[in-house]
Amino acid sequence: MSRIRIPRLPRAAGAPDIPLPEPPAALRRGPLREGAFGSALHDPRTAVVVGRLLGPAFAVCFLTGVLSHLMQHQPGWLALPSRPVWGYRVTQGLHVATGIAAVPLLLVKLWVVYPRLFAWPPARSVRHALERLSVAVLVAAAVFELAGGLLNIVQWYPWPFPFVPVHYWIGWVVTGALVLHIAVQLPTIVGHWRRARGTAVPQAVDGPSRRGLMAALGASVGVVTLATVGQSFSPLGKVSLLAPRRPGVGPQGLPVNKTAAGAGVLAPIRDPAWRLTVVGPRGFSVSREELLAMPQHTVTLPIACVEGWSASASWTGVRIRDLLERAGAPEHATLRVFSLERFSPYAVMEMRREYARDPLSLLALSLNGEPLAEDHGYPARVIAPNRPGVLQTKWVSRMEVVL
Amino acid sequence: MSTTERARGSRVVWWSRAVLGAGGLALMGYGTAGLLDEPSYVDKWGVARWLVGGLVLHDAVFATLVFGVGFVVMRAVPARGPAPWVRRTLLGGLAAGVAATLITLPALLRPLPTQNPSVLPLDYGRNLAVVWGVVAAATGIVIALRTWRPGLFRRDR
Repeated sequence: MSRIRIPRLPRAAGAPDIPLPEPPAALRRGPLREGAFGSALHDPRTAVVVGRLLGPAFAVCFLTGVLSHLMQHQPGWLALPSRPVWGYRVTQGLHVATGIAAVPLLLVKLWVVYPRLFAWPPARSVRHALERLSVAVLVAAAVFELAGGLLNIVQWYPWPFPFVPVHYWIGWVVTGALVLHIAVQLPTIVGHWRRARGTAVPQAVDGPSRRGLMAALGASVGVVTLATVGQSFSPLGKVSLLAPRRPGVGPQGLPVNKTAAGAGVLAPIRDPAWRLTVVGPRGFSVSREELLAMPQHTVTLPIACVEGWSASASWTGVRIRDLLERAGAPEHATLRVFSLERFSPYAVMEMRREYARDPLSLLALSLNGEPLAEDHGYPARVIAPNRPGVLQTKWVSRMEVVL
Repeated sequence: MSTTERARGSRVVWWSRAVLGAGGLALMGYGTAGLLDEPSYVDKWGVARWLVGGLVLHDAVFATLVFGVGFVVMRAVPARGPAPWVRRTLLGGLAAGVAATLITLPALLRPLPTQNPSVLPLDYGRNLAVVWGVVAAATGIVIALRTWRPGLFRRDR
């Protein structure tokens, strides 16, 4: 069994560095001893092989996460398309599925490089110390993002800070730390990208093999993926025994993110005097019966949550563009939608023309052929293609044409 | 000269490292500044505690357990017990089961009930046991196949 070889750290030519004294050898005990870790798989080649799976996984999580952020907080300069209708569903399903798959990937990667935590001396120089500190930031932020995401998808928030902005900003930190890590390790990555030539070292028949490690890693990724991906990929719904959501479970066969009771809207939505007010050049106010008397359209659209679950359903109601026309809204107008829910960052939602004028965007009154359940937004809710679930505003009471 | 040494001497690699390094530091700075500017983020130390806590939980607790279990499984009764490849296959199955357990821990530990019956609608304890059963069965099948056909899965030799 070969000893782990800890490769010398890259040294940029000519860059200044300050050497640090080596601590007394008497301190080199326990895991700090030379050869304390036996397996031959704690080597740079294995670290590269696992890292080139883990790196893309984090890249997918970062890009889909930033996309969701842009869709939820659409900047003025950015026009977002309302197609494909499954855009948000697929990207956010991918975000969560990739994050879950990254759990075994990250743990195996850390297992491979764990002996380097006990490198001797702990810091050869100031630059070496900074490099190690950047790895600590990378590992801490990576664990934080994956653990935080796993708790968020079961709607459990046992920490003293708001989840969404912290997950978002630490996402930038972990991505930066990963890019920095790639910069530091680039010579090792390039040097071990391909299997070393002419080194078909005859390993002991019973020795540890990289292929065996990768098989265990592949099996782990397969198990966690199959066990959860059905919450967004409905055909596997029944296979996903560990998913926090199951398509088909919920009022009217559809999961719910926030219930009417949880949103505190039971009294106003049950009020028979409920009316929808539309404010615009020719503003008007209508009851639910009057909305039902307007031309009805039925569309099949998914409801897709940033927490990764999604399910398709059949919605019936009035086209939002018909309401805009009736209110005399100009073609380019943005629509502002108000919910009866009061203490929520999503109580007011804005919808730009790309969404508001889409023929698939409805103020829905029925779901799968029945009047909307209270938890799904009775008396009326917004449903539009390629939109985050939190912007599919429920319990709508008011719409304003923004000129 | 190793491939790593050669890569270190390459101009392309030097410039790539400079660009990636600067870009990485910029992204980290952007994330940190954004977090500190966040109006809804009041408990400044809360995030730091959770960041360090996760690092310590992995490096001091989880990794110690993993290496401990690996050591025991590989070294216990070396002369008589099962062959090393059987032990490694068992460890592989154990890894898959542990991965499934880790991603289920939030569902198992979350205080119930949630306000929303469509969140966590399943019996996660029972389902995790089913997953462990499937993983154990698959591990057993792999060991049986390799005992029966020793050349199987060994193309890398």
